Parts: sequence; C-alpha cells; structure tokens
Amino acid sequence: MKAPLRYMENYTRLIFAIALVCSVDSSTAQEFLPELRLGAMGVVSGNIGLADKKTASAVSDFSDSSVLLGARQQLFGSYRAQFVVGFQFPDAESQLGQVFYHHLFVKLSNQRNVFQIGRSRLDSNLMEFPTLRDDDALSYTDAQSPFSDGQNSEDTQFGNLVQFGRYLTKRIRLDLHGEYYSETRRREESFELNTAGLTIGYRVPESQRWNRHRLDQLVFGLEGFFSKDDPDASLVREVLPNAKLGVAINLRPDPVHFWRLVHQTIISFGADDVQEINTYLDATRARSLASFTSIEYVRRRLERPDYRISVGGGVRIFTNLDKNSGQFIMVGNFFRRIGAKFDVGVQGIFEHSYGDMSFRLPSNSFRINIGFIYAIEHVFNNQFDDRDSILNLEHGYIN
Amino acid sequence: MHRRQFLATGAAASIGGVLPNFNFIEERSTKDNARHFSPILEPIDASSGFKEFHLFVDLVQHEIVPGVSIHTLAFNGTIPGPEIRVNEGDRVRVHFENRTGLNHTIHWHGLHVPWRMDGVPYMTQLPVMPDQTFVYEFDARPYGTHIYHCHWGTMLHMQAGMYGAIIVDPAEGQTDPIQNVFPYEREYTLVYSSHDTNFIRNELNIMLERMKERRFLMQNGRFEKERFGLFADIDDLKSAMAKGYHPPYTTRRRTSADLPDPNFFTINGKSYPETPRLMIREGENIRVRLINAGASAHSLHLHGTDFWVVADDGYPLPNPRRMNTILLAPGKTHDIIIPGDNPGIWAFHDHDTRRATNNGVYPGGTLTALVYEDLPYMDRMAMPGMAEMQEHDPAAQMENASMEMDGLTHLPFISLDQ
Repeated sequence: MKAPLRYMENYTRLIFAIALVCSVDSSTAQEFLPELRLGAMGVVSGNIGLADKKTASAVSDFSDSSVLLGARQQLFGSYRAQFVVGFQFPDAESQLGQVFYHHLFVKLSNQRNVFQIGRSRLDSNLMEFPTLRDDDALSYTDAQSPFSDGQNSEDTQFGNLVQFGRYLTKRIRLDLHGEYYSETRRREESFELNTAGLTIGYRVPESQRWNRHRLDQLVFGLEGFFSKDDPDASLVREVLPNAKLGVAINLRPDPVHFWRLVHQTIISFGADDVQEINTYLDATRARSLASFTSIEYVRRRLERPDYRISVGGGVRIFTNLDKNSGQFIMVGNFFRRIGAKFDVGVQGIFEHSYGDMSFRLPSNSFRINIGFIYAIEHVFNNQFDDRDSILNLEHGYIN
Repeated sequence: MHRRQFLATGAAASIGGVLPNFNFIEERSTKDNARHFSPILEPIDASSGFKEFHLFVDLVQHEIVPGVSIHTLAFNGTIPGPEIRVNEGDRVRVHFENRTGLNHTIHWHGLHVPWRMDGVPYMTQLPVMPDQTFVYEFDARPYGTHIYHCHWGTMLHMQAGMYGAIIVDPAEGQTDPIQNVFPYEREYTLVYSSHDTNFIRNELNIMLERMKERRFLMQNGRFEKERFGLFADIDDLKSAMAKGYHPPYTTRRRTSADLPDPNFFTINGKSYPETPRLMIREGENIRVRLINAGASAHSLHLHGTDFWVVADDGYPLPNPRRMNTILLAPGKTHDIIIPGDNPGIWAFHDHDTRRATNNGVYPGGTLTALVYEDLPYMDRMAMPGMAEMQEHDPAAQMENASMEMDGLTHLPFISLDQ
C-alpha cells in the first residue's frame, strides 16, 4: 500500500506545484510588462603603436564593445525600480576572460532620491572625455585604484557600488557612495566595501542643451581608498584620499558649430612613505596630481552630428618623490558620422613618461587607432517619462 | 440585522418617506456633472461688428482619470477647448495666441471659411510660431455642430488635446430646425477622442527639444527651410537631396508598434469613471452633439431606448433616423435626440469594448450613462429591500454584500473591477 500512497503523494505534490505556477502566472498576467531598454556599442579599431622605436599593431581590437539590457517599472508609490545587466569585451591580456560583466545593479529612484546597489561605473572619475575608448587616457582621467594589479582598466572603472543620491535642485545632485574596487592584486573578490566618498555636482540635463548654457557641468568629489592588510607594502590599514574637480563649459553652444571644453583635475593625497615608484602599487599610492583637458568641435548639419574634431591633453605629476617623475599625454581625433549612430574615425595618442614612471612605461609612445563606432539604444514598451525630460523639468514633474 | 444595515435602511426609509420625490442626490450629481462639459467661450468684444474671441494654447498637466496625469496641450487650459457658440451669419474674429514652444494653427473643421483662414500650414498660412498671435476671421456658416482643432503635427497635437466644439446656432431671430421637430430644452456636447499617452509624451519631448534649437537659429537668421522639410516643389526637394538632405522617411521609420496605439479613450477629455453623464427627465427630449475629434472610430450604443439621428456633420437630416447604435467616425459629428421614454439608468458606451478600457483594462474609456434625474428614490437605492430579504433568506447574503460596503447608497456606482 505504501507505493500507491507515495505515488499519490507525489501526484498531489505535482498538482500543487502546477497550481502554484498557474496561480502565479495568472496573477501576473494583467500586470505591466516592464519597460525594456537595449543598448549596445560596437567599438572596432585597427591599432598601430610605436613605443621607444618598437612597433606593435592590432588588426582587430574590439575591446570596450558592450551590451546593456535594462528593465524599469513604476512601483506602487512614487518610486521606479530598474535592473540593468551588461557586459563588455575587455582588453586583450586583461586576465578578465572573454567578457566582463561591467553592470549589474538595481536602482530605485523617484523625483528627488536615487538608491543604487550592484556593479556599475565607479566614481573614480567625474567627467567623460571625447576619446575613442573610455580608458584611452585612464591614468589622467581616473583616480588609480590601489587594489588593482594594473593588468586591466576595468579594475579602476567598474566595481560594486552602494550609492544614495539626492537631487537638491533639478540640476544639483549630492551622492554618497561606498564601493568595492576589485582587489585583483590580492586575487580576492568580496561584497564588502573598500572605498567611500561623496560627490556633489551641477549638471545641465541633456534635454536642455539648447537652452544654451555656458556652464554645463561643475562637479566636486571626495573619495578615500581604505587599504587593508597589505603584505606587499607591509602596511596595516591606511586611507588614501583623493579630491576631484570637473568642469564642462560650452564655449559656443551653437546648434551648428558647437564648441565645448571639459576639464578635470584629480589630487591624490597619497601616502607619505612613497618617495619612489618601483611597482604599480607605488604609483597608485604616491602623492600626485592628474589633470586632463579636452576641447571638441562638433559640426551639426540639419539637427544631426556631421563630424567631430577634438584635441586633449593631460599631465600626471608626482609631487612627493625623490626624483622628478610624471607623464603627459596628447590625444587628437576626428570622427565622421556616416549613418545613424554609426561613426568612422581616426585617433592619435602621444604619451611621454619620465622619472620613476619609466619603470614600466616607455619614455615615448605613439598610437594610432582607425575605427568604427556603432551605438544603438532602443526602449521597448515605454510607459513613463524620465526625470530629466523637458516636460518634467519645465512643465511640472509627473510621477 | 446589523447596526450599519439598520442605519442605512432607516435613513433611506425616512428620506423616502418624508421626501418621496426629492432628488437631492441627483441635484448633487447634476452639479458635479456640469464640470465635465466644456465652458462656453465668452466673446471679448462684440462692438466691432465681429464676435471676437481669445483662444490661447498652452502646455498643461491634465488628469484623464484619477491616478493618470499627462503633459498635454490645451486651448485656454481645458480639454477639450472651450465651446465656441456663434449664430449663423455672425462675423467671427478669433485671436489665437501660441503660448507653447511649438508651432500650431487652427482648422475650422466643417465651416466654410475663406481659404486663407483654413489653418493648414504652408498650404493656406504659415504656422503660428511660439509667442505669436494669429487672427482668424470668417463668417459663421453653415449651421450645426462643428469642430476646431490644430492642424500642425496633427497626429500629435489633436490627440494631445488641441480640439474643441464650435457650434453654429441659427441666425438671430430664427428658430432651430431640429428643435422645431423635436422640442428640447437641454443639450449636451460630447467630444470623443483617443490618446496614446506614451506617444504624446515622447513626441512632445522630442518636439520641444528640437524647437529650442530651431528657434535659436530663426532668431539669428540662420534657419534653413530643410529643417521643416519645406520645399518649393519636387525639383527643390531633389536639389536639396543632391546636396545631402535626407527626407525623414529615408532615415527614420515608424513600425506599427511605433505608431499611435491609443491606451485611453475620452469624452470631453476624461475617461470612465470621470466621463460626463447625460441627465434626463421622463418625458423630455435631450439633444446630444456627438463629435469625434480623435483618430479612433466609436460605435456608440444606448441601452434601454432608441435615439433619433437628426444631424450629420452639422446638417439637419430631412428624415431623422431611429437607431440605438451609431458609428462615429474620426472627424464626424452627429446630433442625436434621446427621448425620455424609459426611466432608469442606461449605459451609453462604445460597443467596440476595446474603447471601453483604460490602459487596456475594462471598464474605462468612453463608458457613460443616461441617468434619469426623476427616478424614484427607492429605485435608485443600491439594493432596495435586500436587508428585509436577508432576514428570511440567508442565501441573499451574497447579493447583500454590497450593503456591507460603506457609501454605496445609490446607483450608479463607480465600478473598476472586471
């Protein structure tokens, strides 16, 4: 008799399971399909490099190409929830594998508040610069992570994040954030925090660019890396703070001939004991000033970009070393739009390192990239407006 | 009997006994109902030989139903715009002021205006640009129920609220031809429309951003006509294309999913349960002016009685037709006479029930009702006599559940559950 009973028991469980699934399905059938957002960017280039009279080339470099998928919906109150997952193709020899999940976060936001938890772009920088790839001038545009082994740029750009943002006005936002920068140097991963900071910034929303403000962005940030037990440096806990200031000015906010200047300075206060650079860790812990400035010209024709020319330059100076050390960079590029969101362009970069910085870098290097950029973004099932839309900003916010 | 039931029944009984035919609930409803009809636009001046009106358009927030507000365009702050009433033969002057950052015109749909006053941009006039005022002048003719609406970016601007009724009454001293046949005292104007609120929002954002750029270039004398896709002729278009101009249909595409797919259907700018009701008394006729200012057809069906179709596009029909369902196509107007011959509360709704939804959820949309104000009070009670029935029939408890719900004392309820 036990076998039939067991059969009945299993059968009942099966029915219960089916009923549960059906009830869940039927209860959700009438609810909203979330708003889905798909974004993708293909960056493909051929590179030619010349470093200290040695040449190197890459026929097909598709690093930094990425895909983002997001879902968003209105909650029962004023808040909206968003989930984003994304991956990108890291640099060759990055030791990050074929793909790297650079975004995976949940965000809750309403008109004033933003809560975000997960992996995302970190606050190692404040401004975006017009370079082919985001990491083309990373040493000058981002605070360098002391937790990284220097093998890849993703350690500095992406990590786990807990952030609370508050819009003090429509354009001024205060962020408090704690981060976990990947500790690739120690081969450890964790969901704890090793960095904390705050950022306050004035930013004109993209939708209001033709209000033609001169001052587009003014942002200030403070951040501290909390280095724990560190066998390489024989240290037990230290705080490596840095301060950042970024500004973007629309030199000529003209719809046809658009000129823009972007500048950022990062002061890394560093550790007093670092007076020479022998390792990558030393470079991240040394007292330094990194600055980058770009000027871009965008020619727009009948309300779409036609071409863009930009030049930029940066310096990184170490101020507490025994030897005068540092590096500087010059970047110039030209991109032509040949189709909807499809650009072709060329970029040249010259970089010079001196003093202790030549321990791991060539004194002079020159690189040319010839590439294509194809960026797409589409929103499916759109069902509510963004905080920064013209309607919400200029005609009263609607939840 | 529970105490609440006792109190409800007792109150009803005493009111019913002392004031057997006093319709205080309906008086309240009638007053409340009045706000669902567009205000009549008062002339600003009649001494100049013209009936002069001031119309402006602005960008406002509008609540379609409780819980759903949108940014939209509105004439004089209301959706629909105020009702314009003139007499046939009147000389009419309308000062139209554009208070938005977008271009607009006004088309007088159904009126025989001079062609330069017809409101079709680049065909009969230049668009009325931001902060500009344009003066329309015409003689009011022909008699009947007509529409006015924006004719710039019509796919967006009409469903975004830029429409209203213009009624041409008989010339001064003349009687109404329909009233002569069907005597009536009260009339109602119902302006139907359909709205894709997502399309409205996205397009308004795009247009507003684009117009800021264009206005700057206009002010600096650097505006190129290609930005409006404006050409003298085909050769001019081809010449521009040879110089690198891409017509919008070659660089953009709207799939069926991108075209407006209405998710809200309104009467006088509101969806059920905020739709206006038609109040009537036994023995009276009411005239209802049906206007479709939207892009969806409505198959309107009245329960409980028939109505007479007395006018089509404003023209009185020599042989009125008796019907209970009428197809109101986009751009059409029909006048109907509803006789008060069957007291009750009767649904008046779109029989294509997809248009009786809010965001696709039934009930909603253009659902409304013909309500007899003089319905005996006890007939209007939610469940008359149910409390007494419950005493003797426990099976009535299920039906009696509504008696347990606070506030449900008289019909019609607002019901939002499917």
